[in-house]
Amino acid sequence: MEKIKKLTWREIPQARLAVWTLIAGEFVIFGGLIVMYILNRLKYESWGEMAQHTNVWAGTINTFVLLTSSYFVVKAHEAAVHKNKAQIKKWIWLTIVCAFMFLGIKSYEYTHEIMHGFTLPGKHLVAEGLGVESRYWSFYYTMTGLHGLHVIAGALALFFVMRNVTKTDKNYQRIEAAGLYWHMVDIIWIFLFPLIYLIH
Amino acid sequence: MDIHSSNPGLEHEVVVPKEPDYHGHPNYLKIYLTLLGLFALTVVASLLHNPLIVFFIVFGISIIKGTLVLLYFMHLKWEPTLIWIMLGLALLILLFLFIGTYPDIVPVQRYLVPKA
Amino acid sequence: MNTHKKHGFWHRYFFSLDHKDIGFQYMLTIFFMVSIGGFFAYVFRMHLAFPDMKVPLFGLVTNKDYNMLITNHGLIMMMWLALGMLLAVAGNFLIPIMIGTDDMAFPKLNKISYWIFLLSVILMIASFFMPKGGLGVGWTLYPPLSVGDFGYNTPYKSFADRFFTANTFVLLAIAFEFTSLLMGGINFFVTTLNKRAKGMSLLKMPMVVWMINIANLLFMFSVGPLVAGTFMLLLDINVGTGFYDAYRGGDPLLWEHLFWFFGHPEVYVILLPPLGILAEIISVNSRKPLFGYKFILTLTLIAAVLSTMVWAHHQFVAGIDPRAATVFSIFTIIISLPFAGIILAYIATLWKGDLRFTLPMKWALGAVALFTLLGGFTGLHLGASVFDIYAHDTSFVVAHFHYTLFPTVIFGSFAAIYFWFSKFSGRKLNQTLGNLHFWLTFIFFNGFAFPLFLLGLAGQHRRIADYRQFEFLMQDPLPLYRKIATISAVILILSQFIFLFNFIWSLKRGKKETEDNPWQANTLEWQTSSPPPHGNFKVYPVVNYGPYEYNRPDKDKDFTPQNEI
Repeated sequence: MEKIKKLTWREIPQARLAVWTLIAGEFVIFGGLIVMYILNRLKYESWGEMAQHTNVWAGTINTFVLLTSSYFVVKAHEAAVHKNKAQIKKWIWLTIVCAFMFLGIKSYEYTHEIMHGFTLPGKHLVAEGLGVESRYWSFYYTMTGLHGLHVIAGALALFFVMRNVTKTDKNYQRIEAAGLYWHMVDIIWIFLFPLIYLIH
Repeated sequence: MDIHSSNPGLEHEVVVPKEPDYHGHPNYLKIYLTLLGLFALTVVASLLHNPLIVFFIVFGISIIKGTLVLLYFMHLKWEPTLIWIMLGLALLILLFLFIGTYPDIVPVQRYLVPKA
Repeated sequence: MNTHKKHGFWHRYFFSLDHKDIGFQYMLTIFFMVSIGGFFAYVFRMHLAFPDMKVPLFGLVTNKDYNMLITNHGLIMMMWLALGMLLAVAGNFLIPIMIGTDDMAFPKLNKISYWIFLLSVILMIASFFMPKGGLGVGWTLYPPLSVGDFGYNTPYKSFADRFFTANTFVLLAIAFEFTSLLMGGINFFVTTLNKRAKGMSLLKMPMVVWMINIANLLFMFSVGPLVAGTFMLLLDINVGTGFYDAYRGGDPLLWEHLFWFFGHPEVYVILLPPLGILAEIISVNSRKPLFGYKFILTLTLIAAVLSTMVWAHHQFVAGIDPRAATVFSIFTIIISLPFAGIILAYIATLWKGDLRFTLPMKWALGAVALFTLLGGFTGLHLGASVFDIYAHDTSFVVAHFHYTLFPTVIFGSFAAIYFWFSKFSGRKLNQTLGNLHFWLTFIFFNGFAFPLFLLGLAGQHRRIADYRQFEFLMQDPLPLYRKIATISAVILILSQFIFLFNFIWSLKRGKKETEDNPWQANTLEWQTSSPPPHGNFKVYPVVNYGPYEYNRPDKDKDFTPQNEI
């Protein structure tokens, strides 16, 4: 790894500064949701039983998919540095395929859970006297759903940036900016996965 | 209406860097493999039976993984301190939210539906 | 640079990329919202003082109407007027030109954030016309009421029944408005950091640019949990997730925490930009450097951090942990120190200055006086939980926040408009009408808000449509106070028409502004022509002096433009 001096705040390109600011804002939004989930999770131990009904293997594969896609995005970024359009296209398409895989597995999970009666208003659960536990699923669907929307947004951003860059042959720094956003989506999932699936 | 050409009298040169390579490129494959290793460790750890140990291992590893992605994939390591401060502020504010809200939510038992 | 082309109506008011045009779009939209909010205030004030009267232009006010009117008055004034005027309008007009650059860092993003703002306004207006009428749950939207009859154990309602309600629309409007302001805020932040003129170091930036940026960052960091919370409340209403549903172990207090976690920093988000505007105006009009530039800046940063630790003082009677209440009381009282410091620095700026009592200066002094003497000091009382438990939810609180918000938001905005109008329009506002407007506003604002203190101490609760059900509130002189407050409020609202007339007339027919720098100010916006061309400057300035170097001993004239060589 070559030694490179850290940038000063005067040198940072404006696209990257803007995306970092956006990421700080998104961290607070997701962080607020996660803080509320943790508070409720600490309050109700019985939510651990509900967590056992999640599909851990689907979640595990999804984590793997997102980690891999993060790797693809940095490769795309590396290709953007060398202005290698073919490579950019290849890595970003791979990332978008990962996004689709993620969403596909997620929808499989949702279907599975809804078929077992873990729906959003949780009528079955409340009828069984599991009103408190039904709110675990409220958090589950809200957090993963909001994350899913970010996956879609990130994939769209990557797609449009790639099309724009490869057509106009300029603004290569945009690949990195869109990539930063994609990594944020990955980081959020890294924290959501153990919070939702692993802690029983 | 392209009036937004860059301003000749700016404090410092910005907008489009001639070389987008403003930072180091670590060996991405190595980082990726480390991440996968840590990830495998998480999955194995979650199969343990002591919930406390699982909790600490799983969250410790999550924090390490998140930090690795931030530092190397997002190149935070080479970004100005300003960005570190912004992200730090985000976490600090969440800490305030957690501490301030905790005593009113967690220890308090309000009206609950009795279990069947 | 660029020629100033004349564009058509749509081009100028909808598709423009120029920061001044976008600022003007925001301003017109906000004037429209304020007129609605002001009209609502007029109707319910009339109803409170004269309960049986058919209010002119509205008719008889039912209890349901009353709830709807106060709720939407609060929401519109807090979310659209205060946040919009002081972040979006002030940021758009002032930041690029004061730091000496041509436009925002991302002009298209700026345009899109205005469109989203417009969308939020449309949703808000649409919420009045929902089948079940406007939202009437109080502007804080506390859950059991704001979820309404969509809770778990009520009969099934179709999705359309849930979606086409004022609750859903107002929440969507708020969410879009936050999105718009967040996008705008990122834009301002990047612009300020990356596009300053040559020589304009951070400590040579005018105070208002600092203040708007600090306010923006504070907004960005504190609004996040509420964005998540709004999303959750929307789901509670539309899908039945039950996050705040006590029946299923949820906690309405959670919403109160999230709301005030944003809501309290929000009042500082609203306060900081006017403080910046006052710094500009006071310094120019007392011909002295701003006292303690770095001192004010440090205090502002301290206050910004502290402001995220005080939110639960809005919830002292909501059943929060009393130990936490003590901590929040202490922080609330501590946070008054930085603001006292800032106000003292302004007073020190006035000290032995060569004061010019121009119109903007009158507004600025009025704002400082009212905000400090009546808004700030009563805030200290309310911050202490012992007193707050007594005064909570009475008119005392209403008077307190009108005394803090009205001087900063309204007086601050008017000061800014009277100060910068000639720069951005190229024409002068009529001074006689301006003076009339100022004195009427100043006197009748006090006439409206001061009696509320007395009513509140006498025990008058707010959000009650008809006080005749409480015998002790009908004893003399309380009904008289209510009438004084109402009549003053009506005159206050009417006197804003003077401003509106003056604004529109001067924009079209006012006297031409012949000088570029009528106030003899230092900052960069005065060093270009009025109105500034597209791209703001013909020759981009190079900054050599600080923004407040008035009366330098080595110069002949008493001001030194920042770009002077």
